[in-house]
Amino acid sequence: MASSPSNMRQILCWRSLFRDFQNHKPQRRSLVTIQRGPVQKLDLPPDLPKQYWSQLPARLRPDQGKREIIIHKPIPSRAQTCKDPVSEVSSSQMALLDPTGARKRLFDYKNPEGVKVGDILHTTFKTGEPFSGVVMSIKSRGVDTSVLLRNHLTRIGTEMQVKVFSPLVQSMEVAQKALKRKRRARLYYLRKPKHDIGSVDKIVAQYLRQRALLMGGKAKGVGAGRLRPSKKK
Amino acid sequence: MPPKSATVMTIAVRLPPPFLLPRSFLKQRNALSQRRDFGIKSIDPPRPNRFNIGTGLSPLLSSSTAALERRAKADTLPLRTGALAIKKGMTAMFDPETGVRTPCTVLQLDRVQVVSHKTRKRHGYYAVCVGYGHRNERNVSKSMLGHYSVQGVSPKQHQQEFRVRDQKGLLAVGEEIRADWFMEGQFVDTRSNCKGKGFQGVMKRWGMHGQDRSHGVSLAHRSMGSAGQGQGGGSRVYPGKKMAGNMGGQRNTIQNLKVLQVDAAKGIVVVHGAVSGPKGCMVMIQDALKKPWPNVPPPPKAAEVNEEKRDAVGAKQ
Repeated sequence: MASSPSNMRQILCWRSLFRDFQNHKPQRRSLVTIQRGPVQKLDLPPDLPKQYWSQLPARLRPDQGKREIIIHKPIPSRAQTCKDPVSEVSSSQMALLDPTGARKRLFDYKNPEGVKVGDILHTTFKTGEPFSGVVMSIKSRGVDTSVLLRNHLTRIGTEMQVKVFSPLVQSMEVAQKALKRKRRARLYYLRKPKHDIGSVDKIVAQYLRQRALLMGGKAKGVGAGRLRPSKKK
Repeated sequence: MPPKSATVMTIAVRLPPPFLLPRSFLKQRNALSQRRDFGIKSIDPPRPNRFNIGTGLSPLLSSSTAALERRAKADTLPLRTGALAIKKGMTAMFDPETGVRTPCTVLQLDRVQVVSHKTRKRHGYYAVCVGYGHRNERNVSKSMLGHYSVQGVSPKQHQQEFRVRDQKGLLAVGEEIRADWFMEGQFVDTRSNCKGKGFQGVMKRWGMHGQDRSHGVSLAHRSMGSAGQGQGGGSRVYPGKKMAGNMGGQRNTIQNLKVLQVDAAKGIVVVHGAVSGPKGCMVMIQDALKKPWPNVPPPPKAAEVNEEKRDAVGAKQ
């Protein structure tokens, strides 16, 4: 069949050939979004069958319910039974270091026979030489209770701070009680030459002699600790 | 009018190359498929990820996965959680044989419970949120009350997070952490806020030396002196110049403190040395990072602990 010129034109034009396909092009989106206003909130149908619940978000499901805030009870407190743990720890330490409580009584400020500032103390240690001196200050700090002793060793003023409850301290004895109560808690004025007592060795030696006599006489003397083995056995 | 059959002609036409064809024509082949495509999609074939991420490849250095791997390799994260405690005070212990005096700090645990977890999946790391004590519900915000309600614990006075290496270190939510979580002789790190000193001058705050007390110095005995160069330093004061200001009240870590005593019944942990902060401050205790991890025995049950401690106390007395 002879084709008309118009038909021929149609075949050669590609655009015309694909016009059908061009019609299937998707709609172009404009830059402007139409403002349609707020979306009306639809309530859930009251008797929605259960098989549709899985399609709903968890918070809208009918079986969810409003979550109640439950205030759980606290677990029992162990700390309430122990209100002062520091004193408990230190008292357990004291039980190990001073089982009889004798040393504690000696340095108790309430004890009339206790050590006071101005007394002369004689201290022996597990290792090393004993030290004696006048008590210049008593620091009552529980386990860390300490005493400052002053003496003259070969004419040189020497002070020693002794931790009263240290296991290294073997014994502490009062060589001489102060005659008069001192009017202050810390006798740092004793460092001045005007008030310096000097060496207390003579006083301590006298005390030790008397003690030895007493110790020799009796089976076992009542003292603050074993100083030296008794001569008579 | 020519017959209809005459207009419909099947002619074999050679198609132009594909790049000249309209896209819709090429897509026509998929018209019969049921697939719905949403969004902007490329018709190009999928290309390999240009960040080189894929299974079987080692993770990129600047990713969270690699960061966690590095951290695990460096062994700087504890294997297990820590505990919260309050600093009660200090005392000293004497060794009966040697006579050595050891100063120590007494820390007390009270109703320490695991509140929640932080996980790699949700938060990017593993951590245990631990709570201390009890707070009256009227003093706790509704948000936090809801959180505690969901987690199944009572409202807590203090809360802190303890980072752990991996999932094995996550203690169960609601589990109580007692003082015997730590063993006697192990090393711990303590983290707490140090004492606040308020507004302090440069001599206390930075250890500057001040100026002479006399010799003509007027009104500048404890001052900073110069704040820097002149025009040579940029006609300004350098940022970070040490000056007077608020001192203290910052978090401080004391490392490698030895645990001297543990009393689970009373919730007491006694550590060697000093811990930052005043009495009554909150302290975070965790296994020391710079010491070998402690060999922890399987944790005993609460009832067993009480019985053991009661027996021990009875035996001592």
